[in-house]
Formats: sequence, structure tokens, C-alpha cells
Amino acid sequence: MASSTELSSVASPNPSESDDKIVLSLRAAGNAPQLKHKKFAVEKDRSVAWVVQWLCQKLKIEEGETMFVYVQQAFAPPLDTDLETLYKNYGTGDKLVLTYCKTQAWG
Amino acid sequence: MSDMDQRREVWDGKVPVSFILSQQELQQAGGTTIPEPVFMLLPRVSYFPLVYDKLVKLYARAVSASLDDKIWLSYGPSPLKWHYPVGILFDLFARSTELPWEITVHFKDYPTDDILIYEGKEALEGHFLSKLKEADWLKHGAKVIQQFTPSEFGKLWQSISQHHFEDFWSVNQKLMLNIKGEMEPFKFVPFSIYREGKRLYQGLIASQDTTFGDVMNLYQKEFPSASLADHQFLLHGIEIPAVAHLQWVSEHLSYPDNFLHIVLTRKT
Repeated sequence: MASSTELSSVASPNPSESDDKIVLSLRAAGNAPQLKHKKFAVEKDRSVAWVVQWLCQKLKIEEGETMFVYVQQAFAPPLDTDLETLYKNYGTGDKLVLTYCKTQAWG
Repeated sequence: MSDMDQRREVWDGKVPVSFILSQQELQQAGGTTIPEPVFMLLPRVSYFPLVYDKLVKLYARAVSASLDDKIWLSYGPSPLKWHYPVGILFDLFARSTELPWEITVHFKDYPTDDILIYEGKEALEGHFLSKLKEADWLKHGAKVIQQFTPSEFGKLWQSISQHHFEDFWSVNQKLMLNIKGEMEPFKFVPFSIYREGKRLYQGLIASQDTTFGDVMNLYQKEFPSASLADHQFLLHGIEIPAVAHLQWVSEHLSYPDNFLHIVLTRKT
């Protein structure tokens, strides 16, 4: 289970990227709760499922509810997709922007 | 062969499968009668969950499966990812196997580390439509699919569910054209490369003046240490000539989700 210590919150506007981490920018949509900090350096091998788990934990989402994660506000990648693949294909600049919401929005 | 003939060939491709119930689970349940295997000819472009209901009806009782026991399939030691089309799984695992392809049906010990949870047909529908949206994002910045009505999405899903070629292409042909309804090279060609025991590879490749060989080169560039001389890139079980125009390959040989699902495997 993801613990909040596993994601290092990145406060500076230009976070440095270590070789095995990518920078995630997590944005809320719909009535999903906002995160206090939005940028995180995450191990590139982590999957979308891991991000969902982490979000549910961090935002104290109730049992039975889940979070949907979108790329380019256009599609929901399969939960077993790794973040490195998403970053390489859909990353913008130095980061991968993911939008999350409690209901299905774009896909 | 006309465009639609080519697409029909892809659509009609099938693999012979023999489903058998897990002997281990049967024993554990104290079952005495061994249920017969079930033979099916499954479309390569279809998905295993579309026959789950049938398999549950046939086998769940024999292992006293409850509603909480979710069905899953394996080939040998490998759980089969339900969100991959049948054809990918066949090309990955069963090309050198004696046919029919023998797949084991399970109800216990769902391998959550290896395969996604399957909550029902809506999960497959959601996955399929998402892949379609991803493909159109690559091809057209998602601008074409964003115009689709719920009825069009419904028709697409129904056509997969019922395996209906004309219904599928009546909507899907829009995704071959730009937002003005004109032929135009795709911005990027949706593709994925699968290799047994390795993570799925996906990269960005433009379609303008590119060939299938360029996809193979892209892979080699990404994995310089991979020795590919004794390997082959298969699409629907066949090797595509390196000189084939990638735009054409994408328009005619993609799976219904508009992706070229390519399997990289050792030459037999």
C-alpha cells in the first residue's frame, strides 16, 4: 500500500529529475478534492493503479469509491500502465500531468 | 483486394480455443465429475471476457464458486490479461502450441499482481472506449472522437460485443479521417509492442512517410542491447513487410481499438 513518505513532495517550480523518477502534476477535476501540493517525484516503474491507490489514501476517499485518472484530459490509461511509458508518450515539458476525478469524465 | 476486404480479413481471423476447468480447484472442491472441455473459435480481435458468462455458467458450480469468486484464465503458468485482445495473447503464448489452444478456467486465488480486477462487462467497455480515445488523441489530438455522440460510442461497443463488422466500421471509418472528413496522415500512429516477460512498449511515431520498418527501428533504438536478428514482429500472427507504409498498415491492420498491437517473438 502506498505511504505518503514514498512520494516526495516537490515544492520548487523546477524539480530536478533523478534517473529513476518522473515528475507528476496531479490536477483535480469535477468535485474531486484538491491536493495541497500538486507536484510529486515518483518512481517511474509505478503504475496508474498505484497512483489511484495513493490518491484515495491521501484524499481519504471512502471505501467503495474510487478515483479515475486521465491523461491529456482525453483518456483513462489501463491501470497497469507504468508512469514512465505515459511520461514518454504524453508528458509535457518536464512532467506528466494527470487529472483525477471521482466520476468518469472523459472516458 | 479492396480496403474493406482487407479489413474484413482482419476482422474474421479466429483462433481455436479449448477451455478446461482447473483440475486443482476441482479437486479442492471435492468435485467428482470432470466437466467437459469447451471448444470455441474466438475472433483474434475480440476479448476473452465476452465469453466469461458462458464459462461461468458451465463451470462455476463444479467448484462451488460464490459470487465473490471471480473468473480468470491462464495458459500454463501465465494468467491471461483480460484487457488484451485474444490475438495478442495467442501470438505471445500459443504460436508454437498444438491447437486447439488449451486455456484453464479458474475461480479461486485471483492473481491481482498479474491481472487487473474485472468488475463486469462495463469494465471491458470502459477499457475499449478509453483505448479508442487514446488512439484518436495520437491520430487527431482527440478532435475527431470528441465529436462522437453517445449513440456512436454505443454502436462501437455493441459491434465489438456482438462481433459485427459492418456496424463497427460504420462508425470507425470516421476515425480514419480528419475532423473535416478528409484523408490526412495521422499525427502519430497508435501502436504497442508486446514481448513475453517484458513490459509493454509504446512510442511516438509519425505516419508521414514512415514505414513499418521504422517502428521496428524505433524499438531497436529504444533497446539497443536487444538482439532482434532472431526475432520477428508479428501483427495478427503475420510478419508485416518493413517497407509497408505505416499509414496504410494503421488504417487496415489495426485492432478495433485503432492500435497496432505488435508481438515481438523469437522466430520458430
